[in-house]
Amino acid sequence: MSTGDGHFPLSNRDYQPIIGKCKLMCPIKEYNFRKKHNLFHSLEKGEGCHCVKEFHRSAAGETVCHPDNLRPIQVLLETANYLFDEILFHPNSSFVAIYDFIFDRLRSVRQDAVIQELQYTRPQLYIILLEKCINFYCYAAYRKTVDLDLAIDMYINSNHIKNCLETLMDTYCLMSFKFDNPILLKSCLKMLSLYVLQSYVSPETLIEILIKVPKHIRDMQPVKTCVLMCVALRHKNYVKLMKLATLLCHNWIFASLCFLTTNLGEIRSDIIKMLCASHSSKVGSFSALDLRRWLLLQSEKDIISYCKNSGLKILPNNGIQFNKSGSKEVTKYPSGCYVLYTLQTLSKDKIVQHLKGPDMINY
Amino acid sequence: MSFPTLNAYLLEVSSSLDNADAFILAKLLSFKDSHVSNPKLHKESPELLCQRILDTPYDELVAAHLKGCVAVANCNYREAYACQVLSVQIFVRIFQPQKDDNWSLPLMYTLILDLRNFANEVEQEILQHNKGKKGDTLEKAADTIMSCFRVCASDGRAAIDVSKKWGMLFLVNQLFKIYFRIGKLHLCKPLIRAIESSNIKDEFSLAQKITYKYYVGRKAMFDSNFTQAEEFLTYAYTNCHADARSNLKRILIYLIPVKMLLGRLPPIDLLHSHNLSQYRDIVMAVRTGNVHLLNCTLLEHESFFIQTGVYLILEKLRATTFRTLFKRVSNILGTHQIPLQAFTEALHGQGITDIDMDETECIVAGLIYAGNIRGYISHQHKKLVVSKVNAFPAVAS
Repeated sequence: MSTGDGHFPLSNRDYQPIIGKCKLMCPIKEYNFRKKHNLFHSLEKGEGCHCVKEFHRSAAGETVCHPDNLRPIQVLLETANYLFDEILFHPNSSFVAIYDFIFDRLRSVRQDAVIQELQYTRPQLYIILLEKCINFYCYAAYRKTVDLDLAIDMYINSNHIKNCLETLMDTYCLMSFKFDNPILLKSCLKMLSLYVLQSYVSPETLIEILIKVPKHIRDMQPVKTCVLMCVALRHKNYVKLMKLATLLCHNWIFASLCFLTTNLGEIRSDIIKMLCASHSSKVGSFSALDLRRWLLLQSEKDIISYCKNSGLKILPNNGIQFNKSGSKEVTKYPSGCYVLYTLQTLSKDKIVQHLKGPDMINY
Repeated sequence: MSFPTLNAYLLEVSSSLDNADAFILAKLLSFKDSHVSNPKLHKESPELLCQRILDTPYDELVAAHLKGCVAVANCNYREAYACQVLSVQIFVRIFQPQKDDNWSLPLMYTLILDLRNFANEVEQEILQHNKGKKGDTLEKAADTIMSCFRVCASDGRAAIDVSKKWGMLFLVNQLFKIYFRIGKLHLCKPLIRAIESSNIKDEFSLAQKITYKYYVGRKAMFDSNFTQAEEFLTYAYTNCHADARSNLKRILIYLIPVKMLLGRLPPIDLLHSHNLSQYRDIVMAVRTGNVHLLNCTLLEHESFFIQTGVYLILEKLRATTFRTLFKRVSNILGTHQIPLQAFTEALHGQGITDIDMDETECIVAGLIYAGNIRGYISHQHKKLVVSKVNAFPAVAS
């Protein structure tokens, strides 16, 4: 039972959790050590840049649990905000270098949160912190999808999204999905939507979500839309899926849009495979204009280009001919994707705003 | 079993140990027996008396049990659970060194069953008061049970009639109950492998085999391995005692959707006799191709279907229902070139007005892709052209 200010008493414990005392983004001890050995990252040098605590695995002799080395929740939130405000679009670094840096520093932020058991002591701010991390990982996945040459390990990135979402789900369950602030409820709905979408390949996870999430939350938007999208995807009702995806675009559910962009390539491939089986004909064709709604690509030209890359025959009247011999995988992200277009219209400031999420530092 | 004094109880325990009578010993250490509520046995520190009458480590085992009795009398299930964990740990210390001997298996069954029951009680308290992490206690109980399982599974050298392996299936079933409760089905896989590779898997008692097949059938269903799920659940259903109505119902909750997906609908009187009216309208919807009825029934009994975990399986029946509806439309029109508009109108006629022509075409395309319709779609003419022979193959095939 919450004590009313969002804190949960830790039952069955004989000890009090550690409370971090470090008010800086980097503990003094680490700062001095790195200064002495010239171990600052290039993104920590220069005007306006600050040193940020690195991720360290706990090892023999390491004092990871000392309060002086741990940052309290407010500092952790400020650190995440700093990384998005000042580092994410740093002019002098490649996105890969920026990603590696932010990935490591966010990992350290999460580590501090775990050591201090913030999931139990400050769950309401903890979920805001996790949301920031998830937004970043989803954004990175979206960047990788549109630029395949980026050296980002998607497997590790996906695992971190999955772990954060599972922890988030556990925290919501601890809070019994009761939020005394509408901002927190809105944040929960956004993250649940992403969790639902992520689970479309795993019926076990989807059922777990349906069981754990109360009905009144499941019936709220955008969670309801995402559940319908999952079901549509499992039934291969791609037209319905794309209609619902358009709704998500209109409602600006950032992390879910990033996730969709990352997975639309595979979904479009499946659509083409299905059409090759169902619309196979030597004489008939499928109008490229009509196919826009199925593939969620914006123009006829985009459809023709995509279908050509898929190895399909294009007729002089811009009709697409499907045949049972199938199609080939398209690796390059197609132009004209409506979801991608929605994300690409975002300015850098808007992206940072989405990554940072709601301002709850003083909550 | 009633005892006038604690001494009398301990002497009975000692006697059962001397006779290696595991059944009596199990009763004496069971929380279902009446001795648990006997106030004469409720001593805060029974260790000294136990040491005087019983040998090590049985004195520790019984002392832990007696402390558990005090905890149960005070309705302190966390303490009772902790005492039972200790009891099982002491039991493992006794059990493991017993070479070529499995006389204490009945005692193990009792201890493990009580452990799981206490863990469930603690979880209930956590749910009610929102204190602590849900599933934690059960997961820890599972770890304790696994320590017993390892002892049983690794007993390779003993002759079959004195082998500890006979305890494996019971323990696996207890672990299944926990893993299903906490939603960690992936932990069932190594257990299933251990049982399937055992040379005595067909010799276990029927009751244990039925429980095992029930859970493995459920797991297969969640893994979308419906043929295997049907095989296991059918075994459980066929061999379950006819008077075990609640068990039969539990099996049918999963067997019915699996069979429906494989194209076999249950008779309505079966649903009535087992009080499974939630499925009645689902069966009607699939049989008649009534998509609207399917939607309404899924909504009406959503909580039941979600809690039992069959919701997504029943959602899959949507394809079968569409197929039946489209087959009826095709039969009515009597042509092998069916306008897609006819399907859209059939859906609108059922009250489903949010499906347009594009979506209808996509649904039909999905059915062709899945092999439920033999034909192709002409997008230009907005027609489905079906095969003149067996255009709508039976789902069971």
